[in-house]
Amino acid sequence: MTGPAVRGRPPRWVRWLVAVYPRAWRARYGSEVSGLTGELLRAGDTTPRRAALDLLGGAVAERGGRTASLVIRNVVFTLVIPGLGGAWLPWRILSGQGHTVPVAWEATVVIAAGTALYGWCVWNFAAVGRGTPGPWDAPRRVVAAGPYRFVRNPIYIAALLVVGGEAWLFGSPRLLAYAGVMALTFHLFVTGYEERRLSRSFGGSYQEYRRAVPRWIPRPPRHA
Amino acid sequence: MTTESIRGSSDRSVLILTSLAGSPKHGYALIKDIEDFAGVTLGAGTLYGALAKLEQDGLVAALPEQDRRRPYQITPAGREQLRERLSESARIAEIGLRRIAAATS
Repeated sequence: MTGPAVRGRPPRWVRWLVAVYPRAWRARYGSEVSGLTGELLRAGDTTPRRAALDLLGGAVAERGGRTASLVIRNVVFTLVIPGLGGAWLPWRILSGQGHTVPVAWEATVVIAAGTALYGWCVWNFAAVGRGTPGPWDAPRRVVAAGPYRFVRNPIYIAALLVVGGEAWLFGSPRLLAYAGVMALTFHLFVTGYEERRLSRSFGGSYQEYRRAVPRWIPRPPRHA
Repeated sequence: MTTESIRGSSDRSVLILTSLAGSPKHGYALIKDIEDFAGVTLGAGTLYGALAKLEQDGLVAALPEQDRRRPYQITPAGREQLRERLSESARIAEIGLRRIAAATS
């Protein structure tokens, strides 16, 4: 074995960068990689900048670039669909009527709850299903985790919470009517198209999920 | 071998296998050895990316930790694969050199 006998803990930022690697990989190689990076830095064989780029590049390669792509796809979806339907269009409806002064601040709690529920759903679609809420880039398997244990369509519920909360916040009957139209559209879309498509794509595993979890009204999960 | 030609992960594994064909080595010794014979300095993330793949494919194996470093050794399958790939490279190198010589003579 050659090499100088350099020992000691690697710098903290090295351990942070190693934390970006996938969990299983980190468990097996993490301490070796951070120890080796520390050795290379102490021996003057690399600079902090080169070492950081190398570690980041390695982490991206281990994750196959898929995580970055998932994050970008979900951010784009969120900006476009919920951004249009939950923020831009409601704002147009409100400002068209001069209803732009908040009247009931307690409604922000409902909006925050809807936003948090949306975030929880997206997290599960991405982490469990490796997809986005968009039907054109949907998860590759039935996601029955997180909020999906309680109800089958939590994203639509989140959208109604946000828009309903906005109607309350600004005291706008017109926005409430918009939320009502949304609710009806969601119901027709879910029953008329989405459930059929899910049945066709996922067959048995979706049928089983459909029997166990209600469509709209949340219910505590039954444990097997 | 130029820097350009060892960008790909397959070339990195040839470098690692070549280094381990001599003797088992831990990460630091591997980097230094590859630097010596190929003039290429691999970073820790790059090295372990390739090493992990080689270990998964059964071409290298980890030895028990020594002095807080884990050495790796080449397996018989690794030796066999290295022999095949180097023979193939040598064959192509020979053809290429012959053609260059014929064209310039």
